[in-house]
Formats: sequence, C-alpha cells, structure tokens
Amino acid sequence: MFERFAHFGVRLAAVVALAAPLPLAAQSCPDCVFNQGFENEFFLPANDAEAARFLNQATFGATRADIGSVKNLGYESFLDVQMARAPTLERPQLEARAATVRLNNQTINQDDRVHLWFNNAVTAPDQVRQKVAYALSQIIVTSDQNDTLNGEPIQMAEWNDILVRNAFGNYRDLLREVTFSPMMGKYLTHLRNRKYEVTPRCRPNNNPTGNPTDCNSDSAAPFVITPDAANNYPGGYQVGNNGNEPDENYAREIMQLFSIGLVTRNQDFSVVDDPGNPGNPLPTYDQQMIRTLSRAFTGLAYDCSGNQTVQGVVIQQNCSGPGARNSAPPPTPGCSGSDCRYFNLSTLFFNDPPRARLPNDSGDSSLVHPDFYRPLVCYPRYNDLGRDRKRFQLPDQALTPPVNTTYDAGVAAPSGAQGAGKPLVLSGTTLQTLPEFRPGASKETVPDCELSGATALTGLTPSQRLECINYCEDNVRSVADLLFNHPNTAPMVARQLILHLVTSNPSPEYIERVANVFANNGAGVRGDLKAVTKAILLDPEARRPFTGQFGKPREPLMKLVAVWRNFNATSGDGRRWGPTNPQTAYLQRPHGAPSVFNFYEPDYQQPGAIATAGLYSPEFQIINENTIMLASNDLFTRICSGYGSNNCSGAFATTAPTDRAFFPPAQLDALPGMACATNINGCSGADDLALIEELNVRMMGGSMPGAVPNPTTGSGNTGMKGALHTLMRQGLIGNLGQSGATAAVDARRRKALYLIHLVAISPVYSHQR
Amino acid sequence: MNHPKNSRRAFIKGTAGLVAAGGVGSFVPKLNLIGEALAQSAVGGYKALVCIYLGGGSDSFNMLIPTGTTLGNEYDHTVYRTSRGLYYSTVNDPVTFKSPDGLGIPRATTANCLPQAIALTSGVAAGGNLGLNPFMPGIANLYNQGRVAFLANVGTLYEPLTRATYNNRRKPPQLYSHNDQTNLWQIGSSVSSTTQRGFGGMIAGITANPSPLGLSSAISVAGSNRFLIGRTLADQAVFPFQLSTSATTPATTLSNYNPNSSTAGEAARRSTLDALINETYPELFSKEHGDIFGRSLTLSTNINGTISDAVGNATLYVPNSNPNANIRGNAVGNNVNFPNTGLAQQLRQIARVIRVSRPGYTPTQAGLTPINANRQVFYATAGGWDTHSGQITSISAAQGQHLLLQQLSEAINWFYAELTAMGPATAGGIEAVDQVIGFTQSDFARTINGNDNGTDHSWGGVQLAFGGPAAITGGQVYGRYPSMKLDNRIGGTGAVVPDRGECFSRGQFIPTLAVDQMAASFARWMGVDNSNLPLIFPNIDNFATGPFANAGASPTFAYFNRVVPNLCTGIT
Repeated sequence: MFERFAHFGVRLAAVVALAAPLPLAAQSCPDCVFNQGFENEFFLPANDAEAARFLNQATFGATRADIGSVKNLGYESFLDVQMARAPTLERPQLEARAATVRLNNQTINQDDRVHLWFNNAVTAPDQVRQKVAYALSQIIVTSDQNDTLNGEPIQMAEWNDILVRNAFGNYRDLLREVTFSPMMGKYLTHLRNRKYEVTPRCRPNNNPTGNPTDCNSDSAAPFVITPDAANNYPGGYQVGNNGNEPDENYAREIMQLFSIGLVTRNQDFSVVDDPGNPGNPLPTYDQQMIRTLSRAFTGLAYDCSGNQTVQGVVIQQNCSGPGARNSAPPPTPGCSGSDCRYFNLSTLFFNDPPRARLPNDSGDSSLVHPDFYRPLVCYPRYNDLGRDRKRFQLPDQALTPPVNTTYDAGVAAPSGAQGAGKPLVLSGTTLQTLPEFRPGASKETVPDCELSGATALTGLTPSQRLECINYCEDNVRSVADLLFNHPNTAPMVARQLILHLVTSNPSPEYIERVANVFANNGAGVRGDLKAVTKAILLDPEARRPFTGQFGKPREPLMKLVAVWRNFNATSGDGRRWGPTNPQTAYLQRPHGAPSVFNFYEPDYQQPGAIATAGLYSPEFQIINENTIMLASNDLFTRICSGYGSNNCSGAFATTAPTDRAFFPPAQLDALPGMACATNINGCSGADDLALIEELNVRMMGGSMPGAVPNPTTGSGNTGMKGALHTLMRQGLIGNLGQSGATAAVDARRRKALYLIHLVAISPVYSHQR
Repeated sequence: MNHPKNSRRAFIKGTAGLVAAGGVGSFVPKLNLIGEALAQSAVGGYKALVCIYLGGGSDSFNMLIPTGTTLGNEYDHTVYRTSRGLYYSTVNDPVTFKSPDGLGIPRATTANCLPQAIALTSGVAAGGNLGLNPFMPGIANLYNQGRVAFLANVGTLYEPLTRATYNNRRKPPQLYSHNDQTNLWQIGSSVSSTTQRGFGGMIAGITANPSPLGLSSAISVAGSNRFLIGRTLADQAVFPFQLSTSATTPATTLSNYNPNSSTAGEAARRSTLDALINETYPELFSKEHGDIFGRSLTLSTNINGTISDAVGNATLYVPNSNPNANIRGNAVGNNVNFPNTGLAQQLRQIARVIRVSRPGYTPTQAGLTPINANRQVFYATAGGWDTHSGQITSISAAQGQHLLLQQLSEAINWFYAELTAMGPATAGGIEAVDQVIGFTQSDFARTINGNDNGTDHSWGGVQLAFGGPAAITGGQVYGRYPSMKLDNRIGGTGAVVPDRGECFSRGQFIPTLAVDQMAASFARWMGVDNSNLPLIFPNIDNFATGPFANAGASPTFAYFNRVVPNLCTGIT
C-alpha cells in the first residue's frame, strides 16, 4: 500500500525514513555506560530477585517456575520462548461457554468474559503476549462500559483477541484491524458513518460549480429544486441526508491516541517547537484535517457472509434478497457475494447480523453470527469518494492540483495506475491517500458507486462494482498506513508501552532507542512489536538496578492479578475468579475503561512532590483516599478467600470455594519458611526471614528495603524487612483459637496470607521498581 | 527543542500575565517570593463553590434554544431549525422528504416531534426569545425565579478572537480535543493544557483557612481532576480529598487493621502498617502512596463519624441514603423527590459535607474534631455527553442527551431545594443557598450540523450557574447568544452575524465570553482579591485591558471586564 508523507514541505517517503538503520550497539547513548551494547551481565539475571523483577515487568507476576526459566535461559531466550507460544484467545472459549449454557436456554454476559480474562492473565502460558496485549488495551481503548458493547461479551472477547493476536505482530496490522473492527466502530461511532451527501442540481454532465444558469442551457430539462436560501447552499448543489456530515470521532482519536498524538515530536519524545509560534509545540493536525480524514471512515458496516456454523450451531443469514438479514432466503436470489452490498443495501447496511436463538425460542442466545466481530466492509453508496454523487469533484477537492504519487513495491492501486490523489492537507502538511479511480478517467467514465438496488447490478459491470468497494476499503487501509508511517507514531507507541511495562519516566534516550526499533527492527521492518517488546524489556535502563525515581506506580487491579500469579492461585471451579465488577474497588476493569482516555492518562502528574519534581505518575490518577482503602479491603478478602467464609477469620477451609479464586493450601505450604509449622519446636526467626525473603523476591523483585542481621534474636532489624520480621517474631498471631493437629499449620498459612496482604498494600510494593 | 517531561511547569513569572512556557531551566520565583503586595487577609464566614463537570462535551445549544419569531436576529428559530437539520421527528418531513434524524427541538407543539421548548420569562430569554430543553423543567423554574443564570457562548480563549483574526492571534492549545479542553476549562486559563493546577484548587488555596481537622478545603466526590489542584499564597500545595457518595462511609475505612481489635494479631499488623506508611521514602511514588494512605487513615474515621452521625438526624436535615427519606413533609424540609442518579448522589454528599463543615456546627458524636471550614470547593461530574451518535432517539422518553439533561436538571433542582431546607448554620445566620454557587462546565459544545443523529466536537457553548439571591443574580443570560446561522459548507464564505458570534462551517462557535471571565467571577465572590486574580488567571487582562479587549470591531463582546459583571451578586 502506498503512502506519502510530506513534512514541512519536504517529501519523506516513509520507506526512505526507515533506511540505513544504525546497529543497536552504535546508537547514541552519550551518558550511558552501556553504549557498547548489552553487556553480558544483562543477558542473565544474577539472582532470583533480578529474574523476578524482569518477570514482574514482562508478565502478570513472577512465579517460581518462571524465575527458574529466566535463570536458565537468560532474558532474551525466555522472551523468544514466550513469543513462540500460541496465543491464548478468549473468544473461542467464551463461545464454547455460550453454546453450553444455550442448551439450558441461558445466556452469558460480561461477567463470564471478565472471569475468563482473569483466568488467562493468571494462568495463560503466553504470559508476555497477554501482558503486552493488556498494555495495548490501555492505548487503543474500547470498553464494555459503552452501552452498545455492554450486552456483547462475544464482541468484547474478540476485541481482546485482536490485541492478543497482534501483540507480537505489526503495529500497522493492528491499526488496520482495529479500524475495521466492529467493536471500535461502535465505540468510536464510525460504524455506519455516512458521507456528506451533495447532489448537483443540474444534469449530471453539467459542472455544478459554474453558473447555475448553465442548467438552463443543458439539452434536457434541469432538476427542479427549490432554492435553499436559508441554508446558503450554492446554487448548483442540493444537500441530502439532512446535511449531515461524517462523524469525526474516530478520525480524531485514531490520530490523537492511537498513532501520532497532538504535537510533533522527535524520536526521543521531546516536542518540536512551532516555528510559526515560538515557544509552543508544533501541532500535528488541526480541525480541518480531522474533518477531511473523517470522510475516509464512511460507508463501513457489518459484512454479510451468509450462513455460518458456530460451536455446532447453524446461524442463518440471508444476504441475497430484500428483508431481514435473518429471514429465509427468497426463492430466487437477487444477488450474491459483495454485490449484495449494492442490491440489498438498506437491509445490510442498517441492520445487525443475526444471533442464534435459544432452543426454546424464547429469545436470542449469546452465540452471535461471526459477522458481528469480523472486520467491517464497505458499502460504496455511503462512502465518500472525494467527489459528489454524480461524479464531479467537490470544489474543495478540485481546487487542489493533482499530485504525483508513488507506491510501495508490490502494491497495486485500484486500476493499477498512478494519478491524481485524494490529498489531506493540513497545517502545511500534505498526507496523500490513494488516488481516485483509474486516474485520468473522465467524469463520464468512472463508475457511479452511488447506484443501489437492481440498478447497481445493471448500471455497473462486475469489475466496476469491485472497483468501488476496493477503492473504499483500500482508502481506509491507506489512511491507517499514513498514520502508522508518520514519524510521531514510533515515539508515541514506544513511550506508552514503556510506561505500561517498565517505568513512568523513561529517559529520552530510552524512548529513542525503542522508537528506533519501532521504526526499524533491524531488518527494515517498521512496527514490529516483537522487536519493540524486546527493546523495552532488554534495554539497559530497564535492566540496570533500581535507582532514584525509576519504575511506576503499580496499577491497583494488577496488584490482585500479580499476587494471584505470584503464589499460584487457582479458580475454585476452574472458571470463575470472583471480581466481576473490579472497577468498584480498583477503578479498573479489563476492557472496561470509563472512556477512550483509559483509566488514567500517560501525562498525569500527581500534584505535590511528584509534579514538582516534573515526574509523570499515570496510575496515581485513580489512587486516592477513597479507592486506596477500597482496594486494600478487596485485596484482603480475595487473598484470604476460602470455601464459605475466609481463611483469615475462620478455620482454614479444606474445600475449594465454588465461585472464586483462592490459594490452595498446598501452594502456601510449599513456600520457604512454611514447613516448620509441623515441627515440634515451631518456626524460627530464620524460617520467618525465609518467608519474607520469598515475598520480597516474587512480589517485589528484591526491592524490599531493610535488613534482618540476626534472625534469631531479631535485634538490629531495619526497614520494611525488619518491620515484617519483628511483626512475625513478636506480634503476628495466626492462631484463631483453633486446636488440634491442623491448628499450627493453619496458623502458619494464615500468617503467610496476612504477610502477603501487608506487603501488597505497603508503600514500597505500590511502587513497581 | 525542549523536553517537557523534564520541565517544571512553574505557573507564574514575576507579575501578572506572564507565564513561563515551561522549557528546561525556566525556573521562576515561587509564589511566596512575589511579595507582600499580593498577600490577602483571611476571609471569614462560609462560602462554597460546586463545579459540575459534564464530561464529553455537552450539546448545550440544545439546552438553551432559540425560539424567537423575528426573522434574522440571533433568536430566529427557523435558522436554528434549518441548521440542525430540521426537527427530530418520527416521520419523514412530507414537504422536504428529509429523513427524521434532524436534531431540532420545536418551539411550538408539532406533531411527531419532541415536546416544545419550555418558555423562559426573565431577562433576554423572555418574550419567546429563548426556551429551555423540554426535559429540564426544574432548571426552567429556577431560572424564572432568578436562581439560575445562563452564560451564552462561553468557551476557552487566549484572547478575543474572530474568524478574521483566527490565524493571527493566540488561540487555546488543542481545540476540540477532549482531555486538553477539559484541562483548560478546569485550569480556568488557556495558556497551556498541561498546567498542573485548577482554578478551584487555587481559589481554595487563596481563600481557605486551615481546617482544625486537617481536611482539605478542596473536596472531590468524583475522583481525580485538575480543577481542585492548587496552591496557597504561601506556596503550599492544595490537593483534593476524595470522598465516596456513601452516607455511612463517605471516607472508606480500612478493614482488618483495627488498632483496637481483639482479634489476635490484628492490632500488631496495624502498628506495622502504620510504621511502613509513616516511614519517609525518598522514592516519591512510595512516599505519595504512603501519604494518601496515611491521610485516609487519619481522617476517615473522623469524617465518617461527623457525617454519618448527622445523616438522617431529624433536626439536622442531613439527607440519608433512602431515596425517599428526604421528603420530610414539613415546611423546612426538602420536598423535591431525590432523583437517585449518580450526579444527584454526588450532590447529596456535597450537601452533607456543607451541612457539617460550616462554622458553628459541632459533631453530635463526642470526641470528633469539627471541620469548621470557611471556604470549600467541590467537584462533581456527570459523564456520557460525547454524543457522537444516539443523541436523540425518542420524541417522548428521556433518552440520549435528553436523559442527561433531565438528570442534570433534576439533580440541581434537588440540590437547590436541599440547600434551601438546610438554612443557616446557626439561627439568624446566612442561608445556605446564599453561601453556595454551583455551576456547570463541559469540554466544549457540539457542532450544530449533525452526523446522523449525533454531533461532533466544537467550541463555545452555554453553561449555567445557580445560587441564592446573595450568590447569583439569576434569571439572566450573560454574554451573547449567537445566531445559529452556519457558514455554508461547500467552499463558500457564507454570511454570518458577526456581532452575534461567528462560527466555523459546521457550527463551531468562537466564544464571545472566556472561561477565565466566568471563573474569575466565582473567584472574586469567594473572596479572592482583585489584585490576586492574575495569579489564577494569567490571561485575564487580555479580556479586560488587552489590545483586543475592546477593539470596537465585530464581534463586540458582551462584557469587557475581568469578571462577568453582576453574575455573582455584588461582583462588578
């Protein structure tokens, strides 16, 4: 696909900007001792704690098994193994669940999806992929809190899967796929977005931009149109569809949030000054650009692919004749394939695909036709071609002189030739999308993509019908490519991913190193998310020991997920994990942000010392006096979760809880410093220290401050480590009055749970270092 | 090239009006070094400001609607109707054959359309000029009684601007962008959307005395926001305390760590937690987490006790959580049904806090420290206003934007009635309604031209303020309501009505009243000295004495002043 980007009047072919990559080792890192590339010592963790610290960045939480893997393989090979793992997807699992409950005439809802999300986050073997997908879900946001998505768990599961599948693919493909995604189409409202409809008032072959009286000289009678003086439309045009213009929502946010951002940036994320307005950042686009771009995202609606079988259930869909999509096909089909987008336009464009009914026919089941989540397709009647509906260029298009364009190798433009394009011009920057049809064609010879119904099938040849569709869909892809190839996209995506995985305040050099990998993975490919992920996690800045203000505030909900994973929690019934409305306590919900701006914004600075120091602290936007307590209380309940009541306030359950996750006693018993509970002499200070150290490693990557110089006497204890040890030795009672053989074991387990919770709400743990 | 991530956004440089752009090295004098001249004496009594933020951008020209019959002026209903793509209707228009997805609201009973706009009887709105959305009868009543004021075509501005001067003068950064425009509205100035403070927090910082309890004078019942971040004149940071909307635990307490618990080990765990929280961490993320936790632990019990004891107390008239319990059936009670929406629950919590915060109120429970505030600033919010689609979906039921407007109207109507019922803190004192100003803000208004039953981002719009006679001079529309005549959309430069506000092609109106002026009016009412206004609003004199403030050319602005004259009672 071709794209061209001219910047400050200088043409920059995107591919040229990618050329001649610097070898990683030679990149500038002037104040950095690692400027000769990665030292050997950074390939392998020196100890368990370093491995765990890496895992707490790269996965949802360090486990003993993964710590061993990282120590054996080294960081990069561990990532290679992870990246080779097959993606764990939600939608097929959720469809299976929907099919199962359907047999009982029941439906599923978002609760089922949220359970499944937690299950995959804690237990999926492709951990790094899942973690990166979760990071992406906070950059490219849709949300089940939206009215049109709330009742659609299958759609939201497929949204998750788009991110999971593309997490180690290419950002270009991701940007394209989300653009065509029905879920995004609903969330940012470009589903069924329609063009601004304008019709020349005169006969088709008259130039409506000229004197309207030309109409009278036409050989046939002109249209009779009452002048619309109140609306001040030029005499030559009539406006249709109430004068509605394309929805600008997606055009704006794909630029602001998913790709280039608001202001022009260097590759290290620093802002480019506006030469025309010194002291101010140079904007990347303005309102006119958004308005122009919005015209590309028109004409998209659900596909109609006919009958499909999902989980053994046939979901019928009639695409070929007028009537409802889910009605029986008429005896004589009126169209087939994509031709139905012309012939059966009003039915297919404006209606949703069908759903499988419940067996007792009391309503729809949760099984939906795959067209519900497959990419949207173009209905040319409603797509803005950059010309009016009778083949004339719109005036603001006609004023722009044609621009010569070039193509990526191997990409065929519609009708295969170069020619005048459809420019998007703003702020002196010209973005060039695909050329008009068959450049050089006259207004009399281009196909009339406006046609619909039977007329379309007679008035357009089969190849013309495809040409109209291809033009539209290629144009959307082309716009996504333009943004993907914009220089800003590399530092924007690089910084955001660093923020979600490693640190809220990466150095400009760190951002630039990752952005350079985004721009070129070393093999000439831009947007390779595998390479980007590696660059982020293997960067010397991420791997060198914690210092200063490095790291990030831990996401409130990720405390719960990490603790579950750190200590091998499991779902009691193999399906449910408990929190179906985690946003109440944590202000976070998987694929459930309050708006497209996510739970918090990357540039949030907590007022006070953090803002004064010039630091960003995104997660603090949802951490306040109220939620900090709600989250702490919820964590306690879930860490202590047992059958019936909870293990921290009553006897330790021997049965798994049915509807939520818990720590199996065997997992707790396997922790260091636990076996002593069965000793006749009980547990020693060294046992307590062993348990604390294990929490230090798994939960905190070794970042727990303090020392326990003499575990036997407890004298000289300092810092957090010392405070916890003193508590264990002197004050922490785990026995709730139980007696008998299990009392000592239960008490020790309970102490472990108390300790895990105390660490989880501590100020140091709350800062992922 | 600058590196904003490393930059310090100092907010004032020297005297008023000059603001550091924030590049590396632009360290500037701290506020407390500016000099005694700007210091102001403490203010007494009690006053509160309540910001209701309408997240997403409200299509406010469908809230206050032109219903005039005089062709060609700014209240011309036919122009409005045409620009909005005709009325929203359940049937095709038989004359024009247009589809029924117009966005217009009729001024008179019209078959198959929405109910007509509610007539307003006061100020310029009277005489059929302007009507209110039919789903907002409560606000219409308050306006007609003089308790609500509208501000027309108010929005973010750096300095006065016209279409002709659009390319030559300074403009707010990142117009039409949700988060940036939200920030500018909450900052109260359009210098930079990354300024780390809001005018609510600044007003609190300048006017509030320290509470004996240590409770911040900036209180949010709706999470983090820029609005409530500020500084005192002594350069102390002001940041909001965040409350829930619960009656029993407005400040959430920590469970399972009771220091007085008889459960084995619980008190010991609490003392260890306290030690971890109270430790001084050089790592700021750890320190901040400990600070928030500590603040919550320290204050939550006292706040909960103070509020929950008062809730439902028959003589205190503090509303409890029963949706119907506020109907007290006596002359001093609030007889308006509690709407029980998210916004109403937030305003109810604010009412409770006001009730127990004013000087003279003593907690009923022994041992609690009174809040005893002289000034408080509150933040509430209602979301869902980003109506790109589904803006109107019914001609009778409150759906889409109409549901939001209905909820806004009902919540404010209830809140005002509650303040009325609350009365003075002590017998013979000042009525609560005269101590509180509430107002709305929103990212921006929305395009007059639609996009198939939705609208897109635009700029200037209509906001409202409410309060008692000693707070707001209501029953008035401040600023100029613009003509809804749009520029034509096909390459032309169609005529506009320049002295009534200009718009771009889809009806994005250039504001004729600045956010700064609206906010400065509230600041002055709260007690910020006129000389201190530029500390909060560095651009304020662009609208009062700057070169473009009174150019004598179109558009003429309604008010050339630092404030909106007379909007707040006694502030001219």
